[in-house]
Formats: sequence, structure tokens, C-alpha cells
Amino acid sequence: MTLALGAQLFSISLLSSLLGGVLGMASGIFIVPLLVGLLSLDIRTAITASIISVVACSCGGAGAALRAGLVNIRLAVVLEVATTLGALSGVLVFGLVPQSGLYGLFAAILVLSAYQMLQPRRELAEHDVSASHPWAAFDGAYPDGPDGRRVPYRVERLPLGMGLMYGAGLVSALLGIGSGVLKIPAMDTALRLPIKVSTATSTFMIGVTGVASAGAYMARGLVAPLIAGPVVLGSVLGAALGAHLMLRLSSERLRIFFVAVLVLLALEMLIKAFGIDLRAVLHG
Amino acid sequence: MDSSGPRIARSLASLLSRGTWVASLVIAAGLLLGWAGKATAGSVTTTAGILLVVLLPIIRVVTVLGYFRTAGERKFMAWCIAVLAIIAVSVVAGLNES
Repeated sequence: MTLALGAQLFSISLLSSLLGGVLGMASGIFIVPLLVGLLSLDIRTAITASIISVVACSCGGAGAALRAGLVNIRLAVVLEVATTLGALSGVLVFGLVPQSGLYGLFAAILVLSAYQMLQPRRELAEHDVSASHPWAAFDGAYPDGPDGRRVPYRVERLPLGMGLMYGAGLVSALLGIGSGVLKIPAMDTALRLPIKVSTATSTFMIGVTGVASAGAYMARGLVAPLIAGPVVLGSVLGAALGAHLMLRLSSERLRIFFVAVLVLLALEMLIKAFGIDLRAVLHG
Repeated sequence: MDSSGPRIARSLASLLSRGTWVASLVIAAGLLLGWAGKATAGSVTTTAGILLVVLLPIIRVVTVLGYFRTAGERKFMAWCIAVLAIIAVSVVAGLNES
């Protein structure tokens, strides 16, 4: 690999992760389409490189969430059974899904992400934490406000949450992304977790979910180390910088900008899904 | 109530944060070796760094398993073992198809 290609891979991953970090989201969803579109990488090579960077960013980001006392470790372990099962399913069908199918699925996830970005996440109504319920072993409390007061919360509809998590694991393995777009509805709406706990627990889980597919892709020889290496480095650095910038920048304008970027990337993937060579069309 | 204490959270935070930076440094060293003309050494070192990244979450699950074992929480031990088993099956499936 040339130094120039390494620098390009590093820069694209750094930028994706930096801007993704400002919005508090994972960068896999930007990295794969950008690597395919700008560097003409094969989509499977981009996906397998991206899933390694997703694991690295999850590990890097989970530290702060754990120190802040926001991660529900018990719930994470149980949900990881569903996400890793989904990832295993994804690994088994990865080679069978045609490239056009991967492009089409990516386009759908990008559109869903753009839609979700336009819908602000809201805390659901508080519920009675003292009432008995079947999932009481997973209930917890998290620090909130300037005084760090611990706010109790309860976990609801675990089977529904696990079903959605299975889907998130499957999509993560197929597309090399963290699948936050599916985890957020699972945790916010199905499990009814507070947003802070939901975000932190999701970040904590992504690494284990990603390993179920990354390990298989490495064993299969599908991970190109000299492609994945610069992507991991750029992503880890970008995520760390993005998390610092998030505290200083107003993300509202960036949010609109990102919705436009997501829609453009979805169009790019859709065009590829239909096998249209845009360059050939433009050049007559 | 989730009583996963701050001690295990701190241990995991330290493991994941430090592990990520160590793995990143190994990957960076591998890429530099490759660009310095030592292609084989560079590729091996970069692959070792990537392997470290992949191992980190597995070590994390084993650490949590140890925590639940000490706390005598068998149900949660079983969930951890299930996660490790699924990851193992996935890797074996990858090896069989390689």
C-alpha cells in the first residue's frame, strides 16, 4: 500500500469519525460509503475494515460512559446475546448477499438515519420504579444533573428489545456499522431506558457485537490489514476529538448538514444498487 | 436493581481505554514499518494491532464473567458464557469458510 492511499484512508476515517463524534453517533455509516465512493474500494473490503474501526471506537468511547456510571452492565450482557446471534446470522449470509443487495440495504439504513436525525430523541414519561415487574433484575439508577443525583429507572419489554437487537446485530455484520439506527429505537422505545443510559449502554455493547462478525471476517481472510489499519487509526483519533468538540459546538446546524450528507450517500448507494455507472453516464 | 458496582465499571473503563490506545499504537507502528520498506514486519505488526482490537471486547466479557462469578450470580454468568460461545461459533464458521 502506498503512503498516499494510507493517508487518504486515514483522512476519510478521521473526518467521518470527527463529525460523527460531534453528533454523538458512530462513524461506520459514513466511512463505508465514502471509502466506496471516493476511493472506489470494493464494498466488502470497506465493510470489513469499517467493522474493526467500529469495535475500536466502541472500546475507546465506552471508558468515559463507564466512569460516568451510565452503563447498565447486566442489561448489556443479556442484550449482547441477541446482538451477537444477529451478527452470527449476518456472517453466515454475508457471502450470499449480492453486492447490489448490500448497496440497497445501506441506502435504506442511511435514509432511516437521516429521518431519525430529524426527530429529536425525547425522554418518555417517568414510570413507577417501585412497582413489581418481570425484569426488575435489570433496573438501575444513573447520575443526573449538576449534583449527580441518582435517578432510578426500570427496564420494560425485554423480549421486544432483544428482538430489535437481533436485527441490529444482523445489520451491523452485513454493513460494518454500529447499527445505532436500530439500537436507539430498541433501547429508547422498547426498553424505555433514559437517553443517557441508552446511549452509554449501546456504545458499550457495540464492541462485542462487532467482534462476532469481525472475528469471523478475520478468520475468513476478508480483513485487509493495510486498509483496516489506517481506518482504525483515523476513526479512533476522530472519535476522541469529536467527543471533545461535541461539548463546545452547537450541533443543530451540523445536524441539518449531516442529514443532507446522509441523503446524498443514500443516493450514491442506491445508484450503485441498480448497477448504474454514474461516471459513464456523465461522460456520455 | 442493577448493582453492578463502580469498581467493575472502573476496571472495565481502564481496560477498554488503555487497550484501545495500545492497539492503536501497535497498528501505527506496523504502518510506519511498512512505509519504511519493511513490508512483512509491517504487515505482521499491523495485523497484531487489529487482533488486539478484536480481543479487547472478548477480554471485557471474560472480566464481567469473573465479576459475576465472584458475586455468585449464576444467571448472569450463563449469559456471559452464551455471548462467548456465540462469538466462538462465529469465528469457527469464518474459519470453515476460509
